[in-house]
Amino acid sequence: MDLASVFFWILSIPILVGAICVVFSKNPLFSALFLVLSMVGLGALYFQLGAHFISAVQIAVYAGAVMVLFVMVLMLFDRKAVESEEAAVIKNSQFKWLLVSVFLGLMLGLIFSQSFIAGPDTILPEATSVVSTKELGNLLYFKNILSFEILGLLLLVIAVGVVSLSRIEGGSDD
Amino acid sequence: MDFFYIFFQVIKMLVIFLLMVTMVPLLVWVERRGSAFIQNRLGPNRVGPLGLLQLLADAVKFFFKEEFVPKNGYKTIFYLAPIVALIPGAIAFGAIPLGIPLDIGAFNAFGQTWGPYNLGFQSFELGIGVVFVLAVASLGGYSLLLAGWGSGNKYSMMGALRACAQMISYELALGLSLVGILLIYGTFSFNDIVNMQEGPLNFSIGQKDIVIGFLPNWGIFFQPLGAILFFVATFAETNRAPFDLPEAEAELVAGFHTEYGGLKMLLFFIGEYGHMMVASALMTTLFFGSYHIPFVTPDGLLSFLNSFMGAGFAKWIQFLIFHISFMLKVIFFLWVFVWVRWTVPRFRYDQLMDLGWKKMLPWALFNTVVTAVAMLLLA
Repeated sequence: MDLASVFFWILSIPILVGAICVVFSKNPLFSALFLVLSMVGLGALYFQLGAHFISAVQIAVYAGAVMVLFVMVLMLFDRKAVESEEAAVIKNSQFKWLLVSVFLGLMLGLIFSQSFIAGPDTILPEATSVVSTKELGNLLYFKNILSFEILGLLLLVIAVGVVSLSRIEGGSDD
Repeated sequence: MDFFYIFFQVIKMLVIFLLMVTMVPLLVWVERRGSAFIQNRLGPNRVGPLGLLQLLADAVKFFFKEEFVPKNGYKTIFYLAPIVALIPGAIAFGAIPLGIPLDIGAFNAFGQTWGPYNLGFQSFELGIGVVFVLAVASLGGYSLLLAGWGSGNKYSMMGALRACAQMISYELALGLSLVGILLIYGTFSFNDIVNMQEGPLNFSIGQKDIVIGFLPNWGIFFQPLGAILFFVATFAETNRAPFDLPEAEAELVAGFHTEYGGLKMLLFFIGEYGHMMVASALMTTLFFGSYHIPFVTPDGLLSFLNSFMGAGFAKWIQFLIFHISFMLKVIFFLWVFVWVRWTVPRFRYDQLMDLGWKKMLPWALFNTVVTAVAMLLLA
């Protein structure tokens, strides 16, 4: 076993434990925090694969921005109310398990079908080579311009939606 | 990847981490004496020369404080928060080069020849250094959130929410203010950026090369607005005055660390000062020529030193001089942090948000666009 696979196995522990605990935690806040653990572990795994830029972006965007907002919102919930509604959560857990198993099946199917088509050892050369800003710009604005623009449109829709929602619910009209 | 290579890397990481941690008590001393100086007081001056041993006395006091978890708090999270506070600063600091690389010639040990090694004075060298530091620093919000929520205290909670909203808001301006300098240097790597800042100020317009001999080739001369925006945004990121709303004493007692005392409090302090050091080091590295000394080149200094001492010794002295040059710049910015904290009054919360979203973000965008257009036209 070489050094890379040792790191892979070490890193897979927090990722998997975190991911499993997301589903099993009763408290939504602990779920979110375990998801952060899983995300950071995933970032480290990208790093170990040599995709440094993707790793940093994974940590900055998912762990550093998206999950911080999730955790912030979850903290605003009344803790006593959350605990007293634990019974209701358990009642709804069939739905949760259904959702989780569907996603698990989907992901596993995707992984296995992909690895049978492409072989397990394919890493896109772009993933590991991005060092200069010019290269990154070329990748984003020439090669992958369509997906980039679609993502931009999605974010715009979200921004407009957030503004309109905040105006409806108790926001002032000035 | 042989034994000594890994050994040297581990030693390097330990040295840099200890460097950061030992800076903290000194910074606390500077902060207390500095604030006293600004407010026309004396500050702690009784224990040891100039009051320097006050830190030791404080540390002993911290060790003997009672361990305590609030009744409504979550024990795990309450203990986790101070540890998390330490991590982002420590990891981010490791990615920044603190001096010129050190060459270790080939040597014999265990009946074998090892080396030669070229060791950069940083924990790990990354091609994407700037992005990495921003990514790791963005994790800083968690310690505040965990502390605020784990304490089970409304003041803590409010402080944590404020802090986190503030950090997220200013992260945008922080990231955008760096885009200009990244455009100019065309790389994310700290080492490349540092190497490009050597020598006198020079740039080319069209085919013409212009050299201005009396100025060093530092980033601040290309990106003055970017540098100012970046430095202001780091004040908000480190949650220090005039943006220290999370711990506004008059409103929130002590904000997210109301319930903390003793060693756990000390860890929060180390985290905050770690953030300050990362901010100062980034400011030095990106805008003030990192370890480069104006009008002095590393080779020139080495040959000057070689003229009156042994070659092996001269190399170490050169290494030390450039490290001191870097640290002096960092210490200057750390002093600015202290200076501003005790000079400028605290912002109101809506003023803070206005400044972040309505002033700094548009100015950072403006800076990015102007830089991009200027580069296109002048290239």
